[in-house]
This record gives sequence, C-alpha cells and structure tokens, in this order.
Amino acid sequence: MTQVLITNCIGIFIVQNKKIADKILFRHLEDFKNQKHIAQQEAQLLKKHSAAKKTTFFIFPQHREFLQKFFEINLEQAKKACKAAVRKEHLVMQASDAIKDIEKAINPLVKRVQEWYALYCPEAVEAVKNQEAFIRLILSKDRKEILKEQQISFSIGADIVQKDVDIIYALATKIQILQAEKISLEMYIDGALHDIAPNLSALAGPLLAAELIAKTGSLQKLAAMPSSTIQMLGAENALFRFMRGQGRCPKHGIIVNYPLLANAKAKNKGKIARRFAGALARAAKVDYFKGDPYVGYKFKEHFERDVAELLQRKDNIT
Amino acid sequence: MFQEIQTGLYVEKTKKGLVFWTENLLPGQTVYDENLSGNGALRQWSLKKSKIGAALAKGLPRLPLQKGDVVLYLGASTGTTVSHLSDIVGEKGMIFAVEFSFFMLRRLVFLAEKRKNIAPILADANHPEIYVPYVCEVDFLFQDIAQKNQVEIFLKNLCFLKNGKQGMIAVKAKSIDVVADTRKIYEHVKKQLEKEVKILWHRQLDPFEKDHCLFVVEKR
Ligand SMILES: C[S@@+](CC[C@H](N)C(=O)[O-])C[C@H]1O[C@@H](n2cnc3c(N)ncnc32)[C@H](O)[C@@H]1O
Repeated sequence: MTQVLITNCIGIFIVQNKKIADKILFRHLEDFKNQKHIAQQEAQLLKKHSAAKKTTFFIFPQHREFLQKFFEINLEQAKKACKAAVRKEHLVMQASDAIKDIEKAINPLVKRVQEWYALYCPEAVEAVKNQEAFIRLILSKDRKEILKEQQISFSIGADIVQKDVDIIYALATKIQILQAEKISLEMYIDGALHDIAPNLSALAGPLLAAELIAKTGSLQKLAAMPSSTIQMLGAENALFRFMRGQGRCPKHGIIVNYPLLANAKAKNKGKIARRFAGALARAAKVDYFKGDPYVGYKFKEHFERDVAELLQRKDNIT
Repeated sequence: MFQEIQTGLYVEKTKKGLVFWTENLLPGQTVYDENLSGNGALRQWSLKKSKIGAALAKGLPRLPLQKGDVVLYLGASTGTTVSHLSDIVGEKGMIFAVEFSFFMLRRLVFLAEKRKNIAPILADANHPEIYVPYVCEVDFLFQDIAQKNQVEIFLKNLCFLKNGKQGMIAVKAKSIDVVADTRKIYEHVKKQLEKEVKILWHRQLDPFEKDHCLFVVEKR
C-alpha cells in the first residue's frame, strides 16, 4: 500500500491505508496559511518517509482525536470569514432597502393622518392630494389659515379641542422626520456609490443603481448577469407565470422606474427596456472591474440618443 | 408517550399524527422556534422547516445516523436541521456544515459556539477541492441545496462518504427546471443518481415541502 503525504488545516500527515504513520501538527491556523513553513515541514517529513507521495485532493481518514481540532480551526476560520465578508455594497444595499421600508411605512401613516385630520378639517385633505405637501401644509398652517387661503368661511369639520388636534400634529411630525430620513439615505447612497459603482449610478441614478445591486445581491452578480436578466429583475414572478403558460411576458422589472421608460408609450417600452438593460450591463461590468469611472455618462448619452432615434423612426413609419 | 425509535430520536403518537423529537444536546435551550418537552430534554423536529423532519413524517424507515457519527452537511443555512443532527450525533460526533452565504454562516457560528459538534465552513459545495483540507471522511452525507446542478454537486461530494455508508439529498424540482413536470425531473434525477449509488428510498415531501423529493442512497 502506498504512502501519501497530505497537508490539511490541522497538520502534515503521512497516511498509509487510512492509518497515520507520522505527523507534524500545526500550532494554529496561521501555520496552514504560511506556504514557506508548510514546504519546510513537508520536506522534513518526506525525508523520513521517502516512499510517500504528495497528494493534493485526498480525503483525510476519520480519526476521533482530530475532530476537536477540526472544529476549532473551522470555527475560527468561519468567524474571520464573517468579519471579512462585509463590504461597502452591503451597507448600500441596507440603505436602499431602508428607503423602501420607509416608503412602505409612510404611505399608510399619511393616509391615517388624512382620515384623522379630515374629522377636523376635510377641506385641507380635499385641496392637497400630494402626501408630502399635505403633511407640510398641516404642520405649517393651522385650520383658520388654511380655510382663509381657500376662501372658505367655515369648516364642515368638527370643532375639536386643541388636545385632540395636537395628537394628530404629533404623528404628522414623525412622518415628516421619516420623509427627511429618506432624503438623507438617498444622499448617503449617492456618496457611497461614487466609490463602488460610479458608472451604474451615473447611468441609472443612485437609487435605481442601489436597488439593482440589492435585488441581485452583489455588484459581482450584477456584472455577470446577461442584460436580458437585468431587464426582468424584480419581475421574476410574472416571468415564471408566463413560462408556465399563464399571463403575458413582462417587458421589464424594477428598471421601469427610470423616467425615460416610465414615461414611454406602452408599445415602445419593451424596446427601450432592452436598450437600457444593455447599457446597465455594460456599466456594471466596468464598475465591477474598476474601469474608467466616468464612462457611465457616455453610456447614458448614447442610450438617450439611441432611444430618441428609435422614437423618431417609429414616428416616421406610423 | 414518547418512544425512542433510534438513539436520540423519539416519536410521539398524537391525535394530529406523528411528532418527532430529538434529545436536546443543551437541555432547556431552543435553536429556532421549536417546542421543548420533558423539562427541555427533548426538542420537537419541525416538519415544515426541516426536510429530514418532513421525510420522517412521510415514513422514512430509519435515519442512517448514530451517536458519534461524523457528518458532511451541504447547504446548512441557519442550522435548523443541522441542530437536530447535532442532537443525535452528540458530543462525540461532528457535523461539517458547509454554507456559501455569509448571512447564514453568521448564525451557524453562533450555533457552533454553543454546540461544539458543529464545524461551520464558508464554501461553495460546487468546489470540494476548496474545503477538502478542512474536513475528513464522514459517516453520513446530507445535501439541501436549491441549485440547478444540485445532483451534480451531491455526486461531487460523495468522495467524502465512507464506502457502504448512506447519504441523503433533498431535490428541489423547481431549481432544476421551473416549468418541466416534476415527476419527469425526479425520474431523471433517479437515473443520474443510480449511475453512482444505490437508491434505498425516495419520497416526495408534500404537503410539508412543495416540489421536493428526498432520496436516501448508499455508497457502494
Ligand atoms: C433550503 S436552504 C437549506 C435549509 C437547511 N437544510 C435546513 O433545513 O435548515 C439551502 C441553503 O443552501 C445554501 N446554498 C445554496 N447553494 C450553495 C452552494 N453551492 N454551496 C453551499 N451552500 C449553498 C443557501 O445559501 C441556503 O442557505
């Protein structure tokens, strides 16, 4: 039976027929990372066991006495891996998701305040439909001022006592804080993306760029993704339904929030989405491989010109 | 009434059906949101959150695992199933828990700090050559990985299993093909596996897990 020399995370071993003929144990994980140290020790063992052959892929036989060592080394290694795995893009992805959370939280809260405030002054709710503007209005002007502005002599809302009004204002104030928080998160993302994905950010805008990274899980994955997949990011459920023979094929996923796409006519959306996804794929690749950080603006210009030409051509035909 | 069906594994017959329990390695402590019984000496094995739990409920005749066994677990996630295997193999056993997402690995690290028979490994099970220096030969191989090439991954890792020992793979049909008929997928998986191992048992895991099939195999 041949003798083999194997080196693993706990030491260097001469193994014969699953039995350990000789060994040098490492003192700690660093020994296994030190190529020079390993080479020296291997040579030392090979001198003693000249028949042994060095192998790389060899399954270490099971020996009870080493299980504890395996445990310790793996736990230590795993802890280090956890610490090292956190990158800037993980922070950006959390910020991006936080914006989504805040948006989701604000919407029902504003509706609540509208309903609540309407008991007191329905005229304000009727006049200002925009959520942010409504909150700003009721926090900056009292009922008398609001009515005067609208040239209404008396409100059809109830004349509740100040204590009952104040509790509505208190909630509205918290909503305004959340709205402000959203803006500072957007600014944070913008700044952070300068370092990790400047081109994607220039092309798509920081928010959509961050959302694309968050949806894929990493810039690396996004950079490796074909543009057709990027086009459908966020529309997976509709896509799978379509593949099962139900519903229509979606034309795009979250990229639809891009203004040029959002405002396009339905019949052009698919074509524009395809071109946009192509540009995004290129920008993500340049960013991931740390290429020219200013090429994103060119991609954007090129994409916009492309779309303008496309629309013109279409207009001429129809 | 608890009946010990094999060392560390108990079954209780209730009106709603069979309930499985493992002997708690750390009496009184829970790992996920499972129930405890017997003053914390037993942990209930979730049928919905663990594919081995589901397999037991679907009539898996025997879990090929004993006290002191060494296990290679691929796709360990946050350690739900791993924790029950950790109960069964006990202090003298060891579970090499491979997981490639560091979000999940973090939870495994905290689990391993308490249960000293779980060795967490951050690695891609597609590349056993990366973690071969961190593991040894094992008595049981388990895989629960939702990837297109999951069967290929399992076959690649068979080398760690001792001859004559058993392994299990939870196959998720939707990861192999979103649209194809699940029965056809399992037929194909069966053929792929049979080339390398002997299939001892297999069962679809519904209603506990949708579109999953668990295979028990033996290495020749
Ligand atoms: C369905 S979960 C496993 C749940 C777990 N078995 C349980 O019952 O507690 C699948 C896990 O496999 C991991 N995974 C997927 N592909 C992997 C790969 N190639 N290598 C290692 N882990 C992988 C995923 O990160 C995920 O945590």
